[in-house]
Amino acid sequence: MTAQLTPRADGRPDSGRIRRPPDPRRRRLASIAAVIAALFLVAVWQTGFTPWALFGRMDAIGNLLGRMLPPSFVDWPRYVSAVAETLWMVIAGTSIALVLAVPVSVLAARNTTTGPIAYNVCRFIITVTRAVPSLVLALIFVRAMGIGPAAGVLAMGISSVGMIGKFFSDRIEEIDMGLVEAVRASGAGRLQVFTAAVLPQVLTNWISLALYRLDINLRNSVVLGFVGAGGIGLELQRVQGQLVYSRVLAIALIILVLVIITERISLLARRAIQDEDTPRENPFSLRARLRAHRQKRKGTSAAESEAGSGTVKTEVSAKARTATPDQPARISVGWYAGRIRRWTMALLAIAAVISSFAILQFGPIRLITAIGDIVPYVAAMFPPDFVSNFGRHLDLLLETIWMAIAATVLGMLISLPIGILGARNATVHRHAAAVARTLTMLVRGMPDMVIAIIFVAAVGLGPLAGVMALTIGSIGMAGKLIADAIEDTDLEGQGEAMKASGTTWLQRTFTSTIPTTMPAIVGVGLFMFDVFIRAATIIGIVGAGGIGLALEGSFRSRDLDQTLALVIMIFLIIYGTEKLSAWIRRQIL
Amino acid sequence: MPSTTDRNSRQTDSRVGPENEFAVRIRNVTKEFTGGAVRALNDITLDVPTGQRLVLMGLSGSGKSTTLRLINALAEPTRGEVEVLGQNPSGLSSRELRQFRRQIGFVFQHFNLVGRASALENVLVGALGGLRGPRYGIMTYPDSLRREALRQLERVGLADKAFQRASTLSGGQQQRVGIARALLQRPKIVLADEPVASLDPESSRQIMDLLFEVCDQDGLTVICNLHQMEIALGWADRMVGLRSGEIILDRDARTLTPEDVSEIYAQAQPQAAS
Repeated sequence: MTAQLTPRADGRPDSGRIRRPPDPRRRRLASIAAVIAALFLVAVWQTGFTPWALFGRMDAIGNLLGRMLPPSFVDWPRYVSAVAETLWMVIAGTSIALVLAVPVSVLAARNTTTGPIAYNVCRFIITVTRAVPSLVLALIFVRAMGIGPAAGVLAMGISSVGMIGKFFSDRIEEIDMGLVEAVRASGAGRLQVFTAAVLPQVLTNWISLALYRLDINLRNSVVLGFVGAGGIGLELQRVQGQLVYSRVLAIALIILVLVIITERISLLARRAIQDEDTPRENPFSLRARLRAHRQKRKGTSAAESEAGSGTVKTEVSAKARTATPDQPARISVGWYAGRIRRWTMALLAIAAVISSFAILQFGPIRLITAIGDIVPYVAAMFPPDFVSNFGRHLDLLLETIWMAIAATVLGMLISLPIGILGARNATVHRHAAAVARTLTMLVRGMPDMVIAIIFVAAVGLGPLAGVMALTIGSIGMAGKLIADAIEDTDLEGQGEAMKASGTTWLQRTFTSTIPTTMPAIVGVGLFMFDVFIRAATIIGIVGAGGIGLALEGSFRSRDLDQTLALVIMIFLIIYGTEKLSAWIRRQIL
Repeated sequence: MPSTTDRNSRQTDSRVGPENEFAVRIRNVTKEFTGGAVRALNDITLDVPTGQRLVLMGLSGSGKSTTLRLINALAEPTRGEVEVLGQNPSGLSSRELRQFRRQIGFVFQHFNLVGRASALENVLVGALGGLRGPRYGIMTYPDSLRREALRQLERVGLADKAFQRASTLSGGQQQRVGIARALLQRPKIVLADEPVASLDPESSRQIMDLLFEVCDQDGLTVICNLHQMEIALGWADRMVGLRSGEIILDRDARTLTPEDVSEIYAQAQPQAAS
């Protein structure tokens, strides 16, 4: 500490320094904040998200609301069958992914793999299928196989392999190897070891993971459907093309309800399976994704596999498999309630999977012909063509980045108060917390793409609609994450001390809540930027600005070599922004 | 700066006037929690004259903290009446309540500082109740207040740590910041809830010396919950013992012996065991 109580030159005692002494770290933070503020202003200007632009379009927004309300369900028989088709698509797609992911995950787990070659090949499959956006796959498959749910099923099936495989293999790596050795020592073969020692230890968690992925695929199916892969998304695209906005709103509401209901059902199903098992965090949950994001940024683990397995390691094997209750001498388990319930659920699941393939008429022959259709399309992508339309692509790429910056900053500005109100330990009133939480839940149920369609209709084609859609969409994610982060922080003591000195809620918010949770809030902001860069690359497909427009255009004009070039450029942008936010995180924390 | 104790106590007297002979009057107060399932205080009556240094002793759960929380209206009595500085807090609007609380400094067992903020900023929190609108960072407080806050930090011997994060200070230092924060409120009453229970014996002595010294300088009424009888006997004017929500001892502290005090705890032993 510097001596701050030295007398001043004129002899009068100085009461000391009342300004913070200069601190290089703070100065660096201030300059980062200044750069972000400047970038935000440029982004606002570039995307046309200026206050006057908004006020200028108030008429148009009001006009659209007039045309949307009330929602029109006159076409309801179509919607019912579209919803059914969506559900069958999601079930079929997820089950394809599961079938593919099980062998991949076994070979990609260090403790069950057969050798370094199999391990690395499977890790590679996981990395690639996670990296390729399902939307790009859907675009290819729709062109190759024709419009309809089959393309969606295949896109979903392949793009889910990476995520499912990764989490499945993480679970395998956590199992108790003693059991494996015991079974192996009894002379069991590889498959026998798997079914007797590995599977029982991971099965409940695997089922939970599959149910989570089902949720994600349902949400994603709207986007896939929109490019022609069937289901409710295709229906949305149809009514949007006809500009019948009362029907657009109707379908948007159907999607919202569908997403929320399936989320509830899958939650109940997971609870029913999990019962006495150790509760573990949903690895797809926002919270877990944010933490994985944070760890990746910190660079504590280079490989993603470590990031996941390191965070959620619990003593599952020790607790979960306790001995079954003592039974009198009999050789069958008997049909007690839990067993009946499990078998009923399993049979229902199998029936659902079989009917999904039957109803969608997606059999093995279709699969083989599909591969024959797809191969020429993939071949046509090589070599990538970076040269044609380079200037335009570059412009759109920059636009994508500006959109993400503008939406992140604006979204955080809106989500921060909602998050604070939604945190039970920082809210102004219990009811305010309930309202804020409900708001975030409802927004979260609405896919970005649907919000983007509505804003494109309201303010016209271009990045403005995209920024508005992402900003509104961020309330669902950032609002929830901020509220969670605040609830995880202990503010009780500080809050009471401040209350005792006669402060208002707003004063407590600025002096205690925000400064105390600032690192977490910044973390959420960086995470949102990451999410928005990805989202901004695809919402161009509905005309909401960004590189997505060129992506779809290259398909339409059959310039698939340009498509590949665009995909590579998107990768580089995502990779670059990840590095950037890692750097910012290091400076701040 | 206060120069002598005399002048200050005179000032205090003239300021409060005759109706405030008592800083705190608690009349037949009962406090129940969870809809009557738990009775924290049972028909307590306690008058604290202005300028008195009162120590409340008793086991955990005897009602000490509840008493303090009733005085600054962090809790409301189930029955009975609390009058503090001539006001009954239960009838106040939220704005009046904030003004009421500004006159009462509170020192907490766990310091309750904003860990990520500097020591000076934490002291400034004491002035927040007297300001309008939210503040973020020390530069948003007026110069005069910052100077005053630094003076209070000087009084508790921490001026050199003014810009250090509160979470990096030792427990004793954090409690000094807590005291400076309470003093910046320019309170008439200081309530201290087990101020040294989280500290080692040496820091405890220093903190209690400091707390009573500064309160004496400013002529404040002090009500302090304590466990350590030797510390209490050194400082208090008056000692009140609580057990199971009832007052079982109320004596001039100067005539009190350690044996008397240990009875507060000793009597409770059989009950605690059952």
